[in-house]
Amino acid sequence: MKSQTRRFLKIILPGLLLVALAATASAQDARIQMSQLDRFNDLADKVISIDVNESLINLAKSVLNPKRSPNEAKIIDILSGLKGVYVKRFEFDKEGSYAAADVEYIRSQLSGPGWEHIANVRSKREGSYDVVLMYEGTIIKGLAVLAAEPRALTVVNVIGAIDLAKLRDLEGNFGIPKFGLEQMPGITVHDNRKDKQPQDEQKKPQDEQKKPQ
Amino acid sequence: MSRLDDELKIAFQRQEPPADFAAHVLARLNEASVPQARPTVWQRLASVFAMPRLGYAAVGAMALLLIIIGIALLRSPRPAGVENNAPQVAISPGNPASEKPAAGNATPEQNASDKLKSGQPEDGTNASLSSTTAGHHAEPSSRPGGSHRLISHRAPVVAQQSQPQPSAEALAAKEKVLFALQITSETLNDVQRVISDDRPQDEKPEPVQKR
Repeated sequence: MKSQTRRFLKIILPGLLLVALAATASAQDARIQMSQLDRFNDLADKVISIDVNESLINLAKSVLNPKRSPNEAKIIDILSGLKGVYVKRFEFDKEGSYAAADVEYIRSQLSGPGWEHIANVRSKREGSYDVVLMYEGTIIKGLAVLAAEPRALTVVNVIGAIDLAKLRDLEGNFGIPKFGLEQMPGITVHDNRKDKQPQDEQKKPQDEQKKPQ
Repeated sequence: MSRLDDELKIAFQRQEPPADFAAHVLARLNEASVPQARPTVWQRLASVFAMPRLGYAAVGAMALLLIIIGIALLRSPRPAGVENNAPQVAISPGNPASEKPAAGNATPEQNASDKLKSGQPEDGTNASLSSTTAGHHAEPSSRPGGSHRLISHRAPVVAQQSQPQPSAEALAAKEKVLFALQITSETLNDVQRVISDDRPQDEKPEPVQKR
């Protein structure tokens, strides 16, 4: 009986191991965790948070028409390999609003297996920039950009096959209206400066009144 | 004595073994002491399947497990809204997500259908959309202005049927995706700009994207 059980386990255990390995391999993707940065939602002057998943990309592609304009054709070309775009940008009113640990939290994920640094800039004046790609063979599986500027922290995570040159060329060619963007589901553009302005404006008249006296 | 004694005597009567008995026993012992050849990997693998009940039970369990995983993967959320499968959302003026992005971003077809829905008169170019030629949608007419007089009250319906309007959700998704791409593009160009700025002056930096 014991030998039968052993033989049974000999078949089952390797199978389970294979399944577990396959699941682990599929789970290893280019998505990076940015949840720790959410604490800046209230601290930052301006917060931009965008989560775009694959279904949303497909929905957007259904609206785009390559015959309508060359830009749309370019965008469709870029979107064809994408599975997700996740952006977080925090703008602060003064320097040193975020800690080095926050940057390191993202950077540590980008030093994991599969990631390959293509640009690594450290500038005292401009800040530090990391551009990291995840490859699957020769195909780019994901992109991560970490821009830690003195007064801003930006993390961009693109999942899927992407052409960097085409993506860079797109800047300024969108013509995206800013109206209504803040109310769009999934996009958070919160400007804390607006909340502060009324208080400042209240102070200004008081100062002006004092000056003539 | 008695019959019992006789039977016992017969039963316990000494019998001499055959002459080659010892030789047979020794031969069998020699056979048993010969080490059996170690089974190969294939023999061991075959021996696993030689046991029908447990072997087949294990294979069945694995197959069931794989089927369950396959079904779970198939039932996982799939990309929705491709082409005409996009969910249609009612356009309401109060809903910012359902509003049109901007006139500059909207296509001529969208502008035309919007104007037709609102009942605004327009020039001949867009009016041709609402004409009864449903099969020739989105083709500008060379007819001079005033052709809108021919528009019947059923024309907008015809135009809508011939040109499926993208849903507000799809437009919102498009803007969101473009916004995400724009920030990505800007950030990448910022990196390139910083790299170009940090270069020595005598080196010619690569042309930065127009800004």
